[in-house]
Amino acid sequence: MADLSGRVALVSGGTRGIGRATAQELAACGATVVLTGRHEHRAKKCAEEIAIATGADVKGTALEVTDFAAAGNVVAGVARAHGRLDIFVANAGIMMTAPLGMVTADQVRETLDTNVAGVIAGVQAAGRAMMRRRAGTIVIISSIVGRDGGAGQVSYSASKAAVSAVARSAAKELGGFGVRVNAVAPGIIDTDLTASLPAEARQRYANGGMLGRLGTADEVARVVRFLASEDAAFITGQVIAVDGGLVL
Amino acid sequence: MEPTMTTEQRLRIAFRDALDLEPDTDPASLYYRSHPNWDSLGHMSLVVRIEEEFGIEIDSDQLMEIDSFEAALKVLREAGIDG
Repeated sequence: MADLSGRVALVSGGTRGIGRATAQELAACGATVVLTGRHEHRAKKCAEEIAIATGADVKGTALEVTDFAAAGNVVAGVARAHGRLDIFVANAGIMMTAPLGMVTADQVRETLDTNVAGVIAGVQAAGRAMMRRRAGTIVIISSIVGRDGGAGQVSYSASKAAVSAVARSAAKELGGFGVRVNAVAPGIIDTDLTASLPAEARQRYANGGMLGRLGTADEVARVVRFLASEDAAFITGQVIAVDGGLVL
Repeated sequence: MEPTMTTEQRLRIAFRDALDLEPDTDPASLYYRSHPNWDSLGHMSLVVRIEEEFGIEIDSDQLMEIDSFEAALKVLREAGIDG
């Protein structure tokens, strides 16, 4: 397991699913972790639970990623409060399923605001903080449907394709400052988010992967931790699939 | 940094370093996008270099204000750096 002692990590959308597992994984490796959630009380409660489980310094704070300025301010505030920001995991996101013929303009806007604009706001602020120290690593949580699309997921898949592009573009801009940016593209992971998928679709995805099952949040979190660690020091601008062989 | 250097001299060096200016280019004559190296990416390098040189943090609004050498000096003055 990587040693992240002395590192400061920020995980957006860290109260549930992949975000929570990632926050716990980073904390277990010794990082000081700040996790965010839409609701402050939930973020603080989750942080306390992870702190007790890992013995690490974990704090929770509210963050509404659709507020571009506020999202940037929270990220910058964490960097200022700790004097550094080493790891930023842009995980906060929503998934609304609707067939192409039924998707509404509001659903499209809300998905893109949260999943794309919210990620860009965080990456912008984290990137600025990391550029100053000429070090740092950013991991964006994308999705395998951002590459291959998904029936009933036109808005969500578009947003995830976009954030994979954000990772590649930011990697090109920030590499010269010693900052790495990568994305993880999970397949179908057993979380609250994917629980909203029709059971038939979940089963189809599970059967479609070479491993014949859904993934777990911990399995994704371990890849995020790898990318955030020095073990991945020469990896940037990549989108790593964690999908059990769903796309081959 | 030479202890006797003025803010303006230090800023000139920061501009030269960040934008990789030719020796005969006067930083004080430049404004944003007037030089091929002062594009949006060059601007980010310049801002980071100024932050490093003067030990300050330039916020997003100030980042947009720095569109000339003089504007950069103004941001420094507002941060209490003068002389």
